Amino acid sequence: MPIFAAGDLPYQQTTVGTIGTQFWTNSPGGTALTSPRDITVINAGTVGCYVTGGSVVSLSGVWLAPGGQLTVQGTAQSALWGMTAAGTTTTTASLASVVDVV
Amino acid sequence: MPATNINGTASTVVSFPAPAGSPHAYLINLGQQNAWLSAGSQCSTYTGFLLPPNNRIDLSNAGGTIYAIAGGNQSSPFGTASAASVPAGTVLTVSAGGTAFTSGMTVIIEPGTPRQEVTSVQASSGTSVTTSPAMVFAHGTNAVFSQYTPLVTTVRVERGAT
Repeated sequence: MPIFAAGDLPYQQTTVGTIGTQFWTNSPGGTALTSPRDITVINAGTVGCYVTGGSVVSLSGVWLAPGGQLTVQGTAQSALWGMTAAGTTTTTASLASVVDVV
Repeated sequence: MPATNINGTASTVVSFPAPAGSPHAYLINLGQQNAWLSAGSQCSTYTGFLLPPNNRIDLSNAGGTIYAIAGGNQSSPFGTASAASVPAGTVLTVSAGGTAFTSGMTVIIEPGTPRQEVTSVQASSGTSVTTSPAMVFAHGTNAVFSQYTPLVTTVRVERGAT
């Protein structure tokens, strides 16, 4: 199998609003990940949002500014959640590396 | 690059915003315990962003202050409030057994909820546990609390601005 097969890596695009929304699951493309992977999240909207690894019920976690990007390396995160203070934004989350390449 | 020791008792600032420009920050957990990151000072293991040991998070635009807190372990004694408390309150009322919580003991209140917080016992009686510092959140009747042993870890921040 080629290292980089044709087609985009599975990514998850989600509208995040003032209610905590899960925008990354541990099954990109429908296949559950079996080892920790790096994950990159881009805030493609014009409203900042807070990012946590659990159900967001308050404005906490890491602040992701509009247009900002965060990459979690070697993460054990199985889910990522977002929440805005007001309005909505769009997050795009994807695997950021391939760790099983030998 | 600055490395900050953090503990499970109270959130600690690990990165201040850059005074100018477009800031970025790379945060690395150098310790052996989990760390949780937050944009607000009320960071907890429930509301923060988990950063496991030897993990790293890169923020392309870290415009604000970043706080971190470590975890901890619950242990006996365990208590249950018999009356509600208010924000900035200092007394947890219990029906009995308050003296099991001794002065100086670190306690965690309502773990696993948005109201999770860590404080210390200042004094106790059979029906009350007085905390210091005061509690930040309101806690309802039947709120659970217990002794808590905070853990420590170290978060290193590499940051700059363009």
